[in-house]
Amino acid sequence: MTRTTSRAVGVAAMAIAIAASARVAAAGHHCHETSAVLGRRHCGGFGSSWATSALQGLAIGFMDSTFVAERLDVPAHVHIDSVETAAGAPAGSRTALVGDPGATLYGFRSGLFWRGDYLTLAFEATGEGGTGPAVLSTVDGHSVVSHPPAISAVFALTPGVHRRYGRVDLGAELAVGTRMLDYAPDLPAGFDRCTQGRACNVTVVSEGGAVVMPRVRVDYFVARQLTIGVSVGHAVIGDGDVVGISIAAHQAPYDGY
Amino acid sequence: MRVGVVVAAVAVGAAVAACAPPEYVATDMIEPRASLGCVDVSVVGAWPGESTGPVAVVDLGSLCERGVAIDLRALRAVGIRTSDDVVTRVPLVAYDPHGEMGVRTLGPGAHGSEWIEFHPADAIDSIDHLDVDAGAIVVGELPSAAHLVVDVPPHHPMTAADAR
Repeated sequence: MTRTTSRAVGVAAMAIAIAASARVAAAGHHCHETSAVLGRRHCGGFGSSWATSALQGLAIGFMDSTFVAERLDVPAHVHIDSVETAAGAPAGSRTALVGDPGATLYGFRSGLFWRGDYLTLAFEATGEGGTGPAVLSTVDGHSVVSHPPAISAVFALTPGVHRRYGRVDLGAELAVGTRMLDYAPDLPAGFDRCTQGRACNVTVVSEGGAVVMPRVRVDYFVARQLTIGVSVGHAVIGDGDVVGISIAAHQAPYDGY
Repeated sequence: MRVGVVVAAVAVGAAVAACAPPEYVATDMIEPRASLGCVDVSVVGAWPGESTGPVAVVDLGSLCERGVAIDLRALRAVGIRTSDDVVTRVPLVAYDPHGEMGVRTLGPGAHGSEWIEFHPADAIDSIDHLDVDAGAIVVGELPSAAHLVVDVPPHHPMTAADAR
């Protein structure tokens, strides 16, 4: 597993753990109830046993999963890296895109989600992988062109609004976060960039940057606690056009609203 | 590791979903009950030891496809006392010392109850029945008559031993 993917999984797991612990803390709060009568009880307030609670809008991890396909342009920066010849002598590599910088990546988005009556909020992590654009790597006058594997991780805070019409829920949201993009172009034969003791004939290019992406989405309640949906987004800062297909389980019918 | 994270996440999701209460169905509610559109309401009388007035256990169930605003401050309750064939009706007010009562959303499929203690303007030692009118509790709907008359069990004040 790559460093970026490990990071993405780690953050997703952390989000799940935070949400789960909040839920457990709420459920396991030790309060010795002395009465069921309003005004005489010590625990739950008015409506606690029948009214919609904001906690009912929480969805955690795989309860709200989106499979994404994203088309993005890899930044056309030139990267200089230190590599080695087969004899172990240091050399410098120069890596640059050639041709179309576009890459199509596929992956998965999940995290911690909250849906209220009209507002939504998410802390989401997206991990994607695919084939990057053509890259030319040059070392000491030797060159090679490759289509390296690419991995993207996006972490975003995503506020939004939504409104339900019968079983159809329409929403708009704004993902604001950061993207880490790694790809590993081949090096010309005879050159290595050895990482952690592993021999390899690739170099690793890492790009990072802000992403601000408005998205619109349509979800359909196939059951009162289960939605499938489609979302599309276009980055206005950073790059990317994304299409997602979601499936989400809801704690309460229609999230309690 | 990936498999472990997937399994853990699915387990957490399933556990959270399992915590959700079951959806209300009409057979869940006892009589007498009234239907206010798609909201069912029933009342049971009680007088727990810790209370100084009769208690209406107001049971609410939603058959709606959308959340409904409920205001239990709109409940109107009258205590009925029968003695020597003389029926006395005593207006009651809800006991809400912390001002908690207000408008809340009853979600689609939600079901639960609120125990509301009522006090008369003048102290009385017993009430035989409660007449609760729930016809105006659905916010935004025209009030309708929904009188639910229920028995109130005798009051057995809580003793110091009970309190322990």
